[in-house]
Amino acid sequence: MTDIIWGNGSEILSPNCFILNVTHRKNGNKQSYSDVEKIKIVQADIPGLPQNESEWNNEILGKCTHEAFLKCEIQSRDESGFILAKVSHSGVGGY
Amino acid sequence: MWTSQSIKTENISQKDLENILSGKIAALVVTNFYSNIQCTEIIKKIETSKKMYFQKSKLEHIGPFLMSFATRKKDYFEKSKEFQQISQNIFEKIENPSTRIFNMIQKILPSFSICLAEEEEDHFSPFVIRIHRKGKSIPIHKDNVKYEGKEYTISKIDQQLSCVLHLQESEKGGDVIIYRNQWNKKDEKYRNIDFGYMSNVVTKEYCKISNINKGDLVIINPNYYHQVTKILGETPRITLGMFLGIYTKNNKIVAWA
Repeated sequence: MTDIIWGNGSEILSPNCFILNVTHRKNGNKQSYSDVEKIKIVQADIPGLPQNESEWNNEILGKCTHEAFLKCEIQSRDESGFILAKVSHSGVGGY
Repeated sequence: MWTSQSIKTENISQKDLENILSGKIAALVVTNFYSNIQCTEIIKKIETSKKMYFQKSKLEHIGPFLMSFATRKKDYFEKSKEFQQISQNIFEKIENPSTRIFNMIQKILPSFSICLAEEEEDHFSPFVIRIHRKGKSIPIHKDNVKYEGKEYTISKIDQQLSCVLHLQESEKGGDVIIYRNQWNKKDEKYRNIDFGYMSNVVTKEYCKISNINKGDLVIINPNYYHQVTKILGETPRITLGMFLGIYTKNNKIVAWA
């Protein structure tokens, strides 16, 4: 089973990397995660973010992730501590 | 004290809509928008219509609604097209609620055009019918297409209203509570994983509408947090909902679900 964390996007580090302020962790995660994690997006499903990664830049990523509530399905952690994850909008805040 | 206002269709004015948008009143309850007999006929049709389920069967509905297709635009428009026939069947002999609501709004705001929202060649879903059975509730949430509907052209609207027609009430529970707190982006840190928000986003100032009758239309500004309390009776609570998006500068209103 994939580890999952949720939280709000914060500082943008590059066109495909950002800081996540972690608010929720899946029960049964195999690894532990701190309250602030660096995320590298390997796959995305985020409203407003173009499907084509070549169109991403810091500004676009910031508009789509800053303060947004996001779900990160974790693939791995690299040597520099970045979490490689599929990042998506998490459910909906409205109906 | 923050309250709702009951009103008859023919008495609604532009000022009443402005009062909802500005938060001066919590809700406008348009009484007897459909008659009891009409509601019963609609319910009969709903009972035999194909249902859909959202979030692992937690919520039962007929017709798609945009928020469950936030990043799946193609699927949303396909489902909306499929729903056309179903909605025509339900309202075969009774005036379609879109038409009735559009006519009401047109009388209040004669300088505005009003129509179902479109994007390129596709039409949005006109409304969604929600069925809430015993034990179900709707957590605290807001509806704000400008934030969550970024993939869609209607995210460019200036203001949003929610219109919910109550077709069947449960014997107990299912009350609408509207909080005098508007959503802002900073509240996203209080999101629940699947749906809605923690209670941190609201204060104790709220309006509870517990006297809604079958056939009443409830209009609110959905950026104010709202919830529906647990359904406690055996009879399901059945509502029909749509949003109205107002383009202030263009004097245009569009509807969708």
